[in-house]
Amino acid sequence: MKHIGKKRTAAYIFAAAAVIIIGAVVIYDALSRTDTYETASVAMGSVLSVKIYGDNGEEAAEEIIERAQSAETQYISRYKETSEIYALNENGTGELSDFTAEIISKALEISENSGGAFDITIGNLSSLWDFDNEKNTVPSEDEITEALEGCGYEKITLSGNTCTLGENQTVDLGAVGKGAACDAAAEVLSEYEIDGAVISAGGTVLVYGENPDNEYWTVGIRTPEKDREDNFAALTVSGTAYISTSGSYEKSFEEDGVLYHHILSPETGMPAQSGLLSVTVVSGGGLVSDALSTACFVLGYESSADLLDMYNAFGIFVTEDKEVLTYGDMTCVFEITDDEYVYGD
Amino acid sequence: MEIKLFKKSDIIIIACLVLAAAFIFLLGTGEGGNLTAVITADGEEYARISLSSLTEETELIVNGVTVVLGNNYAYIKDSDCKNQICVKTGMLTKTGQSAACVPNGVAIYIAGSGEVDAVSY
Repeated sequence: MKHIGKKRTAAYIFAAAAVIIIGAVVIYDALSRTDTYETASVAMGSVLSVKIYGDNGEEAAEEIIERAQSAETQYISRYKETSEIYALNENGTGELSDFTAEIISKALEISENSGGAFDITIGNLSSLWDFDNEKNTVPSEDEITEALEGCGYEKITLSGNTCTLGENQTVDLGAVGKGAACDAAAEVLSEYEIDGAVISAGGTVLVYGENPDNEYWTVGIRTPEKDREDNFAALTVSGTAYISTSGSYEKSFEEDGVLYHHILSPETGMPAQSGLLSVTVVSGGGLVSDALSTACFVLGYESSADLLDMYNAFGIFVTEDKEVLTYGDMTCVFEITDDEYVYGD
Repeated sequence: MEIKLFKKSDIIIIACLVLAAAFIFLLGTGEGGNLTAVITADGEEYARISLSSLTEETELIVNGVTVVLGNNYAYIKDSDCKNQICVKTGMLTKTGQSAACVPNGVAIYIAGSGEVDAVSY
């Protein structure tokens, strides 16, 4: 009966080997899995979430949150009395820190390059509509006309770090604060020599470095409809990129059957009517992506090409008919994942 | 007379070994449904709770904000802020979702691995 004994032994060895091999694979997988640190905090008027892969995650995350909060309170908030922009708006002029001066400089450049579609002097108009506090009332024509008098990026002067506003002007960096927080986060990630991270500042996303679990990062784009929590599309990108979305669904109200949303045209003083539900921009900068997504929403698809080219950016436009149009430098792979949305011509 | 290849005891032992292998495999690689709520107040971490391991609902109050935590869900139930945007945000059930009471400096974020690395909105 020798051959039966051999078969039985073989079966034992096989089963034991299976256990050992599976155990080894699991242990190897566990050991090679990268450490991850994840946290979040209030910053820039919303939630700043930070996910860092590798060593020093906790220290880097704390630094990122601290820098974003101090950027808001010390430098760029128009509401915090401790900030430089608050003082600038109060006094009409001011000597700015390098940090704020650089942001103003970049924002003014985009204001000019977008023909004023993005304009940092929109403060009086945004106060009038007051979407942040859900005022939800359509201002009168006279009120809008008066608010528009203070708008106009060309009336600001920035010489070195000295900034002077035109008469009755109010700077509002609300449209780019989250992107600026992402830019600051990238600096921290570089200082700490972090290999990979994902930062989300109220929906403006920074994917940084390499994803240790995958060759690329996947970023979902929220369905541009009120009360929808799902995504209609996804972007696949490798390396570092900044993604920002501007949408009419975010802050809006209805009055007499008409929808009024928060992306105001600095020209008309009314919500921009460009036939769009949302614009998502992918570029190499946070402030840039934020400003461009706002500008392109105001400009509309046809008129955004030059601006996107100037910044080597990629734009995804969703029309009110749920058609999706894209333009620009494809540094990513874009895919619609919801059947209700189709590619336009 | 039939000569059985394996005795009953052999089959039981082999079955145990295979089950052990399957158990180790599942234990090591199973990550699904692991939601963790991270609650921060004034920039500092206040609590980090595994929602997947909660068996009953619990409430905590921080900076005037009432947060409810349950099995794989969390939400802000109440706050003394003026606009109540935090309460209107509603239920958080997926990784990456968040709610914040900005005036009170409270944020709640669902950490963990999800289908996507982030969502732009």
